[in-house]
Amino acid sequence: MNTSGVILPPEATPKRTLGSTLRPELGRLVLGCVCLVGTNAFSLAIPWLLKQSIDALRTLAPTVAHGIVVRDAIAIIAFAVLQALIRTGSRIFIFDAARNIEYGLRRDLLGHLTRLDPAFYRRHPTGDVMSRLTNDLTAVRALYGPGLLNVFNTTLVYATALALLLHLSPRLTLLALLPYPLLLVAVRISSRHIHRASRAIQDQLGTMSTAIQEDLAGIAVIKHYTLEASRQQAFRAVNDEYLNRSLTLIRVRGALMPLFAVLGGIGTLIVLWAGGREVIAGRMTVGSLVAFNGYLVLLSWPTFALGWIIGIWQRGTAGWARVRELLDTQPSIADAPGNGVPAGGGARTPSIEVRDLVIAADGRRLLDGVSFTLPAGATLAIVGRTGSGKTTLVDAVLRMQEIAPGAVRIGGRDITHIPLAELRGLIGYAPQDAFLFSATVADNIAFGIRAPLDAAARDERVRRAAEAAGLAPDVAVLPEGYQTLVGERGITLSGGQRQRVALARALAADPQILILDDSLSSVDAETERAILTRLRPILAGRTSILISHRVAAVKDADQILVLDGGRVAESGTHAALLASGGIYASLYREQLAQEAVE
Amino acid sequence: MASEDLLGNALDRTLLRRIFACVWPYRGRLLIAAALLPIVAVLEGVQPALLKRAIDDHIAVGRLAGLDRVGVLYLLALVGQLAAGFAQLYFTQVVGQLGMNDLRVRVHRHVMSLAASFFDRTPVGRLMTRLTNDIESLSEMFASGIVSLLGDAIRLVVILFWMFAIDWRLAVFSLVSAPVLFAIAAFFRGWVRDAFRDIRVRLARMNAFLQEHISGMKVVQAFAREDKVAGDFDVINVEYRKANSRAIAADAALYSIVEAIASIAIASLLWYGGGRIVAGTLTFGAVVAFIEYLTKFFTPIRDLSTKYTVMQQAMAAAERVFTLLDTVEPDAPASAPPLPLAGEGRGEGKPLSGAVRSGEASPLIDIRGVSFAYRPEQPVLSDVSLSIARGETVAIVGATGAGKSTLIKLLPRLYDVKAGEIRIDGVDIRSIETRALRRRIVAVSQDVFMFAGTLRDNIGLHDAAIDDDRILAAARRVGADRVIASRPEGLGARVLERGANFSAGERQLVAFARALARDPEILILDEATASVDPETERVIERGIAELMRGRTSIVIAHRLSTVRRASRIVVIHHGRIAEQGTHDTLLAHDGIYARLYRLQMLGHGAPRPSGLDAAE
Repeated sequence: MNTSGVILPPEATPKRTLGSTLRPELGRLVLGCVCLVGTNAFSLAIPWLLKQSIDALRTLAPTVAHGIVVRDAIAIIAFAVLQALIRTGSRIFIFDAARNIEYGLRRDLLGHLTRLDPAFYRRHPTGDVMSRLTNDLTAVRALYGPGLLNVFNTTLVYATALALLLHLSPRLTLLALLPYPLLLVAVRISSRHIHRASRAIQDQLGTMSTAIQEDLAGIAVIKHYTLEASRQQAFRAVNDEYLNRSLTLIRVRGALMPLFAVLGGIGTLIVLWAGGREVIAGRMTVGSLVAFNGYLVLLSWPTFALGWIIGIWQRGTAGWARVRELLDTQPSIADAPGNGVPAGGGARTPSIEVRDLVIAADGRRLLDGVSFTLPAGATLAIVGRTGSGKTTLVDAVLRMQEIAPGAVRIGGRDITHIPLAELRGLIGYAPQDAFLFSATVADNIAFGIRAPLDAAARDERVRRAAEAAGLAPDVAVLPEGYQTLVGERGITLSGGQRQRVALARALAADPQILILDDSLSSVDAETERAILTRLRPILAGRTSILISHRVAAVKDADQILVLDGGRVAESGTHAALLASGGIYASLYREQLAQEAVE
Repeated sequence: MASEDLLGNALDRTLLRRIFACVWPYRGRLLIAAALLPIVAVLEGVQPALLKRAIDDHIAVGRLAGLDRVGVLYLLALVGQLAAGFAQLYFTQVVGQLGMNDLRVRVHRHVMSLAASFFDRTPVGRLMTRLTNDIESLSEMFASGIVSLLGDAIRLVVILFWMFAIDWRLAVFSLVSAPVLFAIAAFFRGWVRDAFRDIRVRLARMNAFLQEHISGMKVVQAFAREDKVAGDFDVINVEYRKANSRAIAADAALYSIVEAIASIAIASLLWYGGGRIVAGTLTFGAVVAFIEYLTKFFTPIRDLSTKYTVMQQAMAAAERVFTLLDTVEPDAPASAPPLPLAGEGRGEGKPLSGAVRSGEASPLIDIRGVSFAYRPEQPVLSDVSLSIARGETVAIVGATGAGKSTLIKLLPRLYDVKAGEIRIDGVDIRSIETRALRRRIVAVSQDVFMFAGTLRDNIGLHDAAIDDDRILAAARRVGADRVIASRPEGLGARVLERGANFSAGERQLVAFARALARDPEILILDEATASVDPETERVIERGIAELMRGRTSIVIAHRLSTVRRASRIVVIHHGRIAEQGTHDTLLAHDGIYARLYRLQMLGHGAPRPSGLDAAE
């Protein structure tokens, strides 16, 4: 992730594979595996020492045997302690490595999310996106942690047991391994089924998260309209689907494990039958056969564990597939190569020029060839009916909507060639729906301040912005003033208060361009006038765009744009538009009449 | 948040009991799983014996005849053991999923029944964690075959019995390790449990952060603060990783120490037993048998220690889930109705279905002496009394924060009055069944929420009684038909999450249509809905005026035209009713209203005088 904030186009980003994510933690993983080797070595040594002592007790003279026994007992104790240490180490190394990888992936995922455009978020439910960063990442991590540990362990045990078996009797070993090719086939077939079932579950987890998120976010409407019953019914359906998919996985996975173990058992039978004949024919001793069987038993646990490992593996890859989908989604709004270096400098407050801007979505033309020129330092007001494209136009200037190159120029520069971070740093934006974060009032207002300021300077800016936005009296009565926590975990502000915090936020950023989208709709005419008066010096000499339905806010603008159905219907000054008697005049007839009466 | 970070102090026993209460309806399957345990154990135990027989009685003595039969018996025992083992695990897992399925529905239903005040202070992401991640964690407990713990316990008892049967002194010596094991378990319990609790808390925080910032990503990007958000998230991400590291270390140490103790115990037994063999007080065979038993003893112990961490993890999750389930903050709780005031005598104490009584001349809505505060130290409404007759349109004006929106939330009992009462048709609203009450009242507020789905669903709200004709009629009256017409699929137009593919104004029109489609008895309108152009506003006004005709309405007025059209204007000032009357009488009165009017403080909301709280 590069720090200049430049967003790279698709070709430049390396493709992520499951294996490549392991690389940074390879050292730890190797260390853990080495410890595992040690652990297994001790696991073999201890029973061997035990066997040695028992044999000594059986065959040797008591006093001699006692000496061996004591020596072996001490050795076992020593080994046990050592084994505990390196076993702990192995688990810590491997599991910590897994968690580190999980941390890194999650960090990268969030970074990636911050670069995805609004169109992505419109298409993808919040709950499902969250699920990818939590549930799916958890499945991936289980693959790296317990999954990897058991794969390695299993491989070790297999290798060791095979070595011992081959040492005893290569011919019998081959016979004992006869069922194993069948095992491999079973693994392949079952893996596919388990993967499909796992993917279905991960998908449904995402769906469930989405449903829950919506129920919680819309709880006010649900209560008002007594929708609890229907929402519960809908949830039950989603929940039951999840149950079905879980049960499917249980069935598929559950059938696997005994199958594997049975195959191993058949191996034992073969050994018994073939080995028995070998012994009877005198080609092998009973003792060897017993020993052979003992080692064969060693194979049974890993074979059984194989089924479990496959489960974790498939669930992990299913989760990874979903994580990859997210990572592979490229932001449709990105910096072009060569945007890397912010040009900087330029006019203190730039001009805005829009030429033939067309934006289409869902088969409709939201903007159909809009053009205008806003000189530096001037104020543009945009008015128009609901849905005529005002906010879309503003989104285009912010490049929250993808636009054709050359359609929008700021300070003469094509905005598709301005690094996004620089472009948006230029603009202070107060959106229509005033979204606030769970933070203090001060932090919310200061959100847009990117310049490094010391606390005093920051607080001063916050205060001045709040005053300009007409927020100061409200803050004065909050329990902790500017330090009052608002949002999800704090106080719920009224709609009008939220709107003015959003306005203050835009002002506090001290941007070169100010865009206010319907920022004064929740205040009365008088307060609106007061705020507009305070805004006047701020707007003077700063390129600004105002969207409003209120004549008072709009009439002093240098230029007024009337949008209708995505096109510019009229444009001009307030006086000129009134005189021309068109849409603007009729739209504001009543408001103007009201003003005239008072 | 304090309540979230507080350590749950529920005992493991209680938690286990409640968890098993969740699966109790499926106890049949659990019993089968438990019953299969001894079968598995027996079949498992018989295999080495069969093997021994095959070797001793056939192979060693060269008798091939009958070897095949022993082989078949062995295979049958193996297959049987595995089948039973599979069935046992299968049933346990199925029971777990079924139980958790039920639990999830229960928690969802409980959460939806909680009061608005609960949602005011609880982040959505945290609640999502409870319903998804935490319950998933619980089901892990069943997935790992918790029932086999029972088998482990039984096996332990049987082995102990045999050990004591052979030589009690050896048995006692062998069991010296037991208190050590207990001490270690106790020590680790605290460590492990705290680590897992921590993990749950930080996971909830992570979800809350994600939910919030995904919702507000547009703001983040508009101010180019992606790096700041990434940095803030990193803090939470790191904390989560650290909490997991602690759990990993604790779990690894516990598992390794138990293994070490097993080996050490066996070594000690060897030492002691060997000494006694040399001294001649013990046979060789007894020692060998004992060593074998001790080895077998530690197998279930080992299994227990592995499952221990899984259990602790489940307990930590269970704590969170059950704490939520135990949250008592009911939405509009049923309460004993207050005694009727002197001189009254109508319909108290009986839950009403909400039927409208026609021909009543008495007030429909009767607000008496109502006081309310969100926070005790900041009163919002003080001793408000207001009577609204059927069919009246009352406009409420006053400084925002004066309590107008709060009054409106009290009517459908989103919040309950702290003092006084509200009656509808003479019945205290606390006696009316909440659902019935809310069906009679429709409130259109400032925040418009649209559900993912279709336009039809958002206006008709899946109500069977509201068909397309009714939806279209309602839409036409408020000008929302334009929104429908602008989409090629019309009513079937897809609505994305939160209505993101509709403009703010369009969402408002849909909200109006939604309210009107309900055709409520009482309409409450919070008119701070000014994000529409003047022409649309006129259409809405016409529609609302038409709708309000003959219908009881309360409007928090922001438009002068609405105020003037109301049959009565109520002025709220500092949480009290200051004046009441018609536009003309109030102007003549020359009080607060007159001043507001002259200073043009009536259109678009009102100014905020000092001394008001923040929450409306």
